[in-house]
Amino acid sequence: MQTHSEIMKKIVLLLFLTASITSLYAQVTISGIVSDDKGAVLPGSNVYIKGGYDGSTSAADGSYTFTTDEKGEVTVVVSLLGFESQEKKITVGSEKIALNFKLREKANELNTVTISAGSFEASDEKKIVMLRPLDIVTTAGAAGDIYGALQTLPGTQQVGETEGLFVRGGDAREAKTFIDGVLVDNPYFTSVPDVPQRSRFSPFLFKGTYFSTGGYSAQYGQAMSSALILESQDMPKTTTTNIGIMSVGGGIGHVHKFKNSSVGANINYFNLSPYFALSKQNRDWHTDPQGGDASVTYRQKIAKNGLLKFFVNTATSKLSVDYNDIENPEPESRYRFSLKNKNVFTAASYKDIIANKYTLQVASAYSVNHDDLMVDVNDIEKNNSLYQNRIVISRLVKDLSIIRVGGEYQHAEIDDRFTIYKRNYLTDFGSAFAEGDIYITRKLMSRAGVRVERSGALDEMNVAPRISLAYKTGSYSQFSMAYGQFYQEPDYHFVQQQEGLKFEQADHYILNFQTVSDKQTFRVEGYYKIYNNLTLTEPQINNEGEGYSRGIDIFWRDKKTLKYTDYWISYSYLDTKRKYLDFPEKVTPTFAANHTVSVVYKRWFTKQRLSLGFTYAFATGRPYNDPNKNSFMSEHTKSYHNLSINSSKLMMIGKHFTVLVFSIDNVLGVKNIYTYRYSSDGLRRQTVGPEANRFYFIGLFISIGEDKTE
Amino acid sequence: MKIRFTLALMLLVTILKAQNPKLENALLKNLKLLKEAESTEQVQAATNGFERIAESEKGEWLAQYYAGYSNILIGMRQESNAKKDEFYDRALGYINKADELSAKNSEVYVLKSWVLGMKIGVDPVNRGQSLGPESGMLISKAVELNPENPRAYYMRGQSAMYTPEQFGGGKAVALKFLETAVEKYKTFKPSSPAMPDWGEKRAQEVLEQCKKM
Repeated sequence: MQTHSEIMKKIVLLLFLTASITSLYAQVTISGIVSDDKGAVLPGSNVYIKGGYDGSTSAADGSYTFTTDEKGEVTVVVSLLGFESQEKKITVGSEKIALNFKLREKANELNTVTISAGSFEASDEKKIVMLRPLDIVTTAGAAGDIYGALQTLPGTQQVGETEGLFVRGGDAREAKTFIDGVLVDNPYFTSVPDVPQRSRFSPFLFKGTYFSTGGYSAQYGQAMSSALILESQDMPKTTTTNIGIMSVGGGIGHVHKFKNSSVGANINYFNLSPYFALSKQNRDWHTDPQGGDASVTYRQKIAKNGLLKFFVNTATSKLSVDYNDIENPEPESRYRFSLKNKNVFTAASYKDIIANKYTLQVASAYSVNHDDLMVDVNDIEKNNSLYQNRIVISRLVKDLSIIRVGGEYQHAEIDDRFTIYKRNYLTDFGSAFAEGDIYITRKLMSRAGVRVERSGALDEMNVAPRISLAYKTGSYSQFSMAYGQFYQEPDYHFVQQQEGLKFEQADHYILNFQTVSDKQTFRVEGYYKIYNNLTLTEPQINNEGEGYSRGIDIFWRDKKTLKYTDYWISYSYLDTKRKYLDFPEKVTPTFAANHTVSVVYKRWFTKQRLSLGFTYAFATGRPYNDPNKNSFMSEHTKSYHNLSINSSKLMMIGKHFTVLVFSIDNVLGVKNIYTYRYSSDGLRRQTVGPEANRFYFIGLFISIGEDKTE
Repeated sequence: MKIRFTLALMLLVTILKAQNPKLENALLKNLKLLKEAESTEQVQAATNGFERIAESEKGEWLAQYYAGYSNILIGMRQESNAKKDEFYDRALGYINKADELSAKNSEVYVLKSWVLGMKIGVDPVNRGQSLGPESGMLISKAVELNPENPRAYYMRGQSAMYTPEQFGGGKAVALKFLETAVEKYKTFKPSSPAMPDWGEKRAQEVLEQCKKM
């Protein structure tokens, strides 16, 4: 018995000991609930001790529990996709620990407002944007030209007689193009009377396109209507070679990727002779347009976040065309217009993060353009060069807000020669800007900025405030408004001739509502613009011109309703009048139509690897001036219609991806009239229309990758 | 001589690293959880386990590898494209870390090619052209780097199944790779129990599917 009780005692003692030892070394349980900041529980969260494996996943009711052997001060981390991770320091003793977490949703495109007034953005990187870079290339009627595609967006005019963007009652001079922040002096091939020119730059060079139809950021200036901001590609992902064979020429490009750098080279040649031989042209070409360009790109990663980009493009082209001489009463009298052009554009930019806080962007560019013209018997020469530097420093403040400051300096030189008369024009231009994207809440933000500019040629300074406000009303919808002042130097011809000219100026007021999901977009925007100090040439050059523009732009895009189909519809209503150049009174200028509609349709046939698309553009007649009429600019052309179709088929040639592209511009062969031109005595008139009633294009693009596919 | 010594040392280091028993046990425990997981919640729990290991073992490619692998699996179970994309991006983050830690690793290339393929599936029209060549290049390299890796053939075959004949895919090509994959799986032995060893059963299923095409 005694033995028995002794054994019992021992057992009890042992049990007691074991228990106390266990409690001394026991694992401690940590438990709690994970919810969002509104109190809704968050299942699936990962709760764990930093630096170890101990942890658990929150259950359907948001609760979690786990044990740990750790002792003393530890950090508990909670992470969940789409939410900001949270850390809490706790001291682990022997007691159970209860620890609740409230996680905040990460700022994303659904819960955070962004500036939208006046802007269209095409990007691959953002999840929800109105356009993708590929959309630009595949739009019928755009012929792979960035500007052609932008003309299917609301706010732009269908102006066929010349290149350029005519935005919301502004002329082409009021729209500027920027690549990686620097101004592009000659974004198009040199202007030829009545023949619109293409852009010099391929859409494939850019990863992002940001098109502003008004109210844009203080970072940009000298554009009273519109800024087109292009961001060049970063490092390529693979080494590739591209070959293009087109009905109008051909090209070859190669980009080689190294570990931290890449080098690319491109050569293109175009010649419209074979095409013109097959397809009758409305114009009498003497030398068919022909030319070529060569470019080199270089990318170098520097340290962890730095990226250096370098781009140089050199191009040459020539053409000559015979025009009817309207001033000569002799019928069939002609004069010849010949053009030889050389152009070089060089840009280098560097972007880096400094001290983990500041983003630094510096860019430097030099461009030179040389036009050698012969108009009838007059020998004309034009040289212009632009050298520029730019710096922007930005800093993120409290998660979302950003402060930016920067400045730019430009030096431009223009040398003109008309037969024996020479003119020289020099200007230095400097600007500084500061801007903040200030988030009051995630749903309400304001962008406020100011831009100060000084023009050496005008010997004048301006201060331009810009402010926008945006308020998110739902996951996909938001209101925004913008106000801004925009200045621009008058055309250099006038500055050269007349001293004391001032900056031309425009005020923008914009109200915007949009709802953008990844499948459907609806956007409506109303605007009012006031123009001041526009240049007048009568009775002598002065700054007394003025004007206004007001209108509504509507955009609807739908990728959801019809399978494999993407379509968009743009509508613009524009009411604008201005007194500028030689206008005797305030009238609607020739480049403004009251109503403009574009319908873009694209359909994919996945099995056949085929895409078909069309673009229909419509614009009501535009004003023109008939000097025989009593009132100025009182006549209107008939309305404009253009239906373009395109098709592309993906194939393999050998082991290489190949795209065959086919397009017809103005399929219906509508005889569009852009405007009428009158002789100065008003006795004779000319119709200005397209080069050809239809334009056919066929091209084969082969991409050779380093993929060793069998 | 010197090179040989360095190589031997490197090999030794690799073996020692692989033999970190705490890591290996934790990975094995989680692999078991993942294997047994049926519901998305269970896959998420296993994924979280891998992420905990990956966060704690920032220098171990295998830990990053499995965090990437399990995030792909959970992404595939999502309904919405936006959610799929978030998980694939998270997976890609871990896979890139694995790639940094273990350069020219056939297994890592397989995973990266796969996740890029899944990302193309989210938005084929816009991503096909940019991500397609990269995904194709990676899977070719995966085969090149280790011709005995059955997963490289399996993924190669699976992607060929969804690629039309005129683009170097199609049934015949897919069959060839999938059959090779099944063959290689039979003899494949992971160098240690926690090393990648997935896909055999699924590769057979895909092969059967392909035969019926």
